[in-house]
Amino acid sequence: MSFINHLSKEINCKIVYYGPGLCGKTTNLQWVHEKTKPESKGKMITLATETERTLFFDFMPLDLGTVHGYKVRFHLYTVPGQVFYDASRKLILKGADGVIFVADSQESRMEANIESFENLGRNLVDNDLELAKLAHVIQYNKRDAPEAASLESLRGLLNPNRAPEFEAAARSGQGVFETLKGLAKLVLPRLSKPAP
Amino acid sequence: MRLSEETEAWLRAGAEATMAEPTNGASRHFLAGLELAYLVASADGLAESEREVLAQALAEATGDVVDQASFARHFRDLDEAVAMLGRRERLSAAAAEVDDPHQRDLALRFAAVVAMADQHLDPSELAVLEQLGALFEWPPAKVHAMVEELR
Repeated sequence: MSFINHLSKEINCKIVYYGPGLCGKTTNLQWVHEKTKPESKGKMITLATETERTLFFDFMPLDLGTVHGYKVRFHLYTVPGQVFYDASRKLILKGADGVIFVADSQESRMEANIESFENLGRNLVDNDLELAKLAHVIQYNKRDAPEAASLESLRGLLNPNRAPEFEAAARSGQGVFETLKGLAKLVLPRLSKPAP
Repeated sequence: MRLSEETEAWLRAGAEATMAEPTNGASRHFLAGLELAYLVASADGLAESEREVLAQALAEATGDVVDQASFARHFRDLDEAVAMLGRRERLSAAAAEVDDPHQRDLALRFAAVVAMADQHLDPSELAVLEQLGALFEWPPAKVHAMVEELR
């Protein structure tokens, strides 16, 4: 969970983008990175080995102000959705303060969405976490796709906890920051208070 | 811990900048340099006694701009950062903050000196120095030569 850097006077929290392969997680991250001022963000980093691949960067939203007198730094992480990278997906959830589940709205990707959502639940349990108790939101991405499923059917399959949900078309940036802000609203009140 | 005059001046300037405004350039380099040194020195674990010696030496090097207790607390904060965000991930992210060749040279030398503060460089510490060297586009031979020079 969140940690405090007393020297830099920052509260750091970890946000994980999760979802099936090609649902738009990386596109979300790239959009946030591109649209954030250079002085408020770190470099986008890709760590890759034969069996792992992680993409991440950190940034400080200037419009958030301070929490308990400390600035808040978000560390945004994602791992490719392909089954092959399951070990990375499990590791990346360690210490997460919040999760954004990115669903692919296309009818043809419904099975992949369900599989990934179930995989998220299992990997959280392996990290002693539980989705119902963890700050999380659902993003229905690719709402601009011609064969996008109805919101009712997506909601019925992927949002059993009635978490805040957002429609998006991440390639054009629609809904990207709205989703992140939606999660931030859930995460911020839970952040640890710095010791005096 | 034997720090060069230039490294001490770099540490002091970074510490002063951090106390004044933690997000400016000098502060970012100082915080990244500290984190890189911590990541190298803690590769084989960081005992309480080692932390105490390092915190004291760093406080002295900054002229107590950052005191011993604050350095000791910073090491605990970095323990948590590694646990939550990952060791390899923190090494890459902190290295990416240091983009100037001269700053990279200072950061690598500082990390090596901190790791050798106990008069010993464990193979696991050397391995992290090599990883850091690779991120800075230093070949392993150049890292080894630097280590030998600092011994």
